[in-house]
Amino acid sequence: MLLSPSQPVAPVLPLRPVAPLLARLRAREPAAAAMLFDRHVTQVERAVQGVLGPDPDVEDLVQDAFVAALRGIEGFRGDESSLGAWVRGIAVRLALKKIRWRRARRWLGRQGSEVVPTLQAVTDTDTQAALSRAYALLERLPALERAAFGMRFIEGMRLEEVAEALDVSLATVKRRLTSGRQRFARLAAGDALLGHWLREESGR
Amino acid sequence: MSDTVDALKGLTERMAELQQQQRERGQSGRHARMRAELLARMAEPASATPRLRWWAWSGAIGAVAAVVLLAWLALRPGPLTFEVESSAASGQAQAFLTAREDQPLRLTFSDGSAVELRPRARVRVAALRDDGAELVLESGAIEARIEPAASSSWRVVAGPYRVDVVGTALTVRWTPEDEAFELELHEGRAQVQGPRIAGTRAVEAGEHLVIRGAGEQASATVVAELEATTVDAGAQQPAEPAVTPSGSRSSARRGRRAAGSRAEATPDEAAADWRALARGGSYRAAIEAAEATGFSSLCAALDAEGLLELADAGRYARRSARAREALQALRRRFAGSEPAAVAAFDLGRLSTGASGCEEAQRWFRTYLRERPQGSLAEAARRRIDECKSPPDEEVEATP
Repeated sequence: MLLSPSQPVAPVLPLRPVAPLLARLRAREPAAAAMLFDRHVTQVERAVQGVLGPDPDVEDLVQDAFVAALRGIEGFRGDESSLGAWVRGIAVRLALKKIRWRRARRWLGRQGSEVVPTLQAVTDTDTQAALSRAYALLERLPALERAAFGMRFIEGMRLEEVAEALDVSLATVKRRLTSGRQRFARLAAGDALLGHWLREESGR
Repeated sequence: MSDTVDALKGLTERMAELQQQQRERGQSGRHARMRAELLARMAEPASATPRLRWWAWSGAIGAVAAVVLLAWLALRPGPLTFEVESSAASGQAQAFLTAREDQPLRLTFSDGSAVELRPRARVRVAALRDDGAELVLESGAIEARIEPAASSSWRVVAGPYRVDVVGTALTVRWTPEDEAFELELHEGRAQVQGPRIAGTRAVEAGEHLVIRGAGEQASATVVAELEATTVDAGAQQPAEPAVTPSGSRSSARRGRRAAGSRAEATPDEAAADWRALARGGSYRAAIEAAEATGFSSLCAALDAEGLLELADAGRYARRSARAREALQALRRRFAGSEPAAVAAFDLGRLSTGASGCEEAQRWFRTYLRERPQGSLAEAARRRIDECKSPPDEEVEATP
C-alpha cells in the first residue's frame, strides 16, 4: 500500500543512545554489573577451576573477582572486548593467592591437610580415588606450574589465554607447562595408587 | 612412553569431565544467586578500611623499622663507664690509676663489675666497650669480680700475658721486674695467652696459674687446688703474700665469697653491717660500724675467718690497734689453728715499722715455729731479714 501525501505519518522516534558498557560500569549501574557477570562468569569460573580444581572455594573466588573488577573499573585501561580477560586475570591471581595462602598456613601448622576436592560426581570408586590422588599431586606443583597445567591440560584453554591470565609471556607459559607436565608425570608414576590406575587405563 | 602419555591424557580428560560436570550442575541457579550477591555487595558502601596498597605497606613497614632502629639506638647500653673510689668524677679510659701504699683502690663499673687494686698496684683502663673492658696491669695485683653476662668481653693484660675472662672472680698479679705472672681463678673460667704457654691455656675455677719470671726456672703450672700451690712471685711485694695456703687470708676470703650464706648465718646480726661495708671497700666505715656494735664483743663472738676479715678491715683503715685486737683475739680463742698462725704473721706485719723490728721478728718467728713448712714461711724469713734493713726501706702493712 502506497501512502498518500495526505496521510499522516507516524513520527519516527529517535532511538535512545545506549552508552557503552564500560561507561555504565563506571557509573555503577547495577544492570551493567549484571551484564558483565552474565557475559563472563562461565569463562572466569572455568579458569578458576582450572587453577584450583573442583574446590569448594571456587564460587567465592569467582564472586570476589567480579567485586574486585567492579570496584577497580576506574583503573581499567582496556576496551570492552578485553573486559572478560581482565576479570579472568583477576580471578586467577586470587586463586594463586589462595594456593599460596593455604601452603603458608600448612607450613605454619594452621591447616592440617590439603582441601579435599569435591568428587561426588564420580561414581566409580577406583576412578574417584585416582582423581583424588591426582589433585593431591597437583597440590605439590609450584603454584604457577599448577595453574598453567590446570588451565591448559585440564580446562583446555588456549596458550594465549593462559599466558594472559597468568600475566606472563607465551614462552614462560610453555616452559611452565613443560616442567609442570614432567613433574606431574614423575609424581604420578611414583604414586602407588595413581600409578596402578594409570597402568590399568593404558592397558585397556 | 606413549602409553604413559595417553594414560595421563586420559587422566586429565577425566579431571576435565569432572570439573565440567561440577560447573554445569545447577549452573543457572548458582549463577543467579552469585549475581544477586554481587549486586548486593556492590550496593554496600566501600569498606571503611580500604586495603592498603603495596607502597602503603612498604611505608608502614619502613616506619616501624625506623622506630625500632631509633629505639635500639636510644636504649642500647653503650660503652661501660667506671667510677674510682673516693673520686667524684667518672673514671677516664687510658688514665693510670695507682693504689696507695697502704690502701686498696676500688673501681666500680656500670655493669656491676668491680676491680680492686691491691696497695701499690698500677692499672690502666685501656678500653671500655659495650660488653666489657680491657685493663692493663702495669704492676702489682688486682682482684676482679666480673658480672656474668650472655656476652661479655673482659680482658686483663699483664705484661706479655693476656687473660680473657667471662663472668668470673679472679686475682691477677704481675711483677714486671721478675716477669712473674699469676692468675688465681676463684669462679668462672678464663683463657690465658703469653710466653711459656703453648697457644691458649684454659683456666677453670679453683685453679692457680703460676708463670715464674725469667730470672727463675721458667715454668707454668696449673694446679687443681689453689691451696696446694707454692710460688714466690711475691718477691717484689714482700708485704703481701702472693699465694696463701688453706686457712690463709685469701682462701678464707674466697670461702666467704663463695659461701656468702655463712656471713648471713652469723648469729650476730650486726656483724653483717661491718662485713658488708668491708666487702664494699669502705674499711673505715666498717670499723666504725664494728665499734658501734661493740668491737670487743665482736672479737669474742666471731669465728676465725670473721676475725681475720675484721683484722683486714682494721689494717686497710689504718686502724692498727683494732687490727691487732682482732688478731690477738683470734690467737687466743683459736690457738694452734691455721688461722691463728696466719694471725701471727699478720701481727708481725703490723709490728713492722710501728713497734720496731724486735716485735715483728718475734711474731714472724712465732709463725715459723707454728708452721715451719707453711706457705708464708719463706715470706716470714724474708721479713725477718728485712727488719735488719734501714727504716726507710721498711714496708707498711698491706692486704
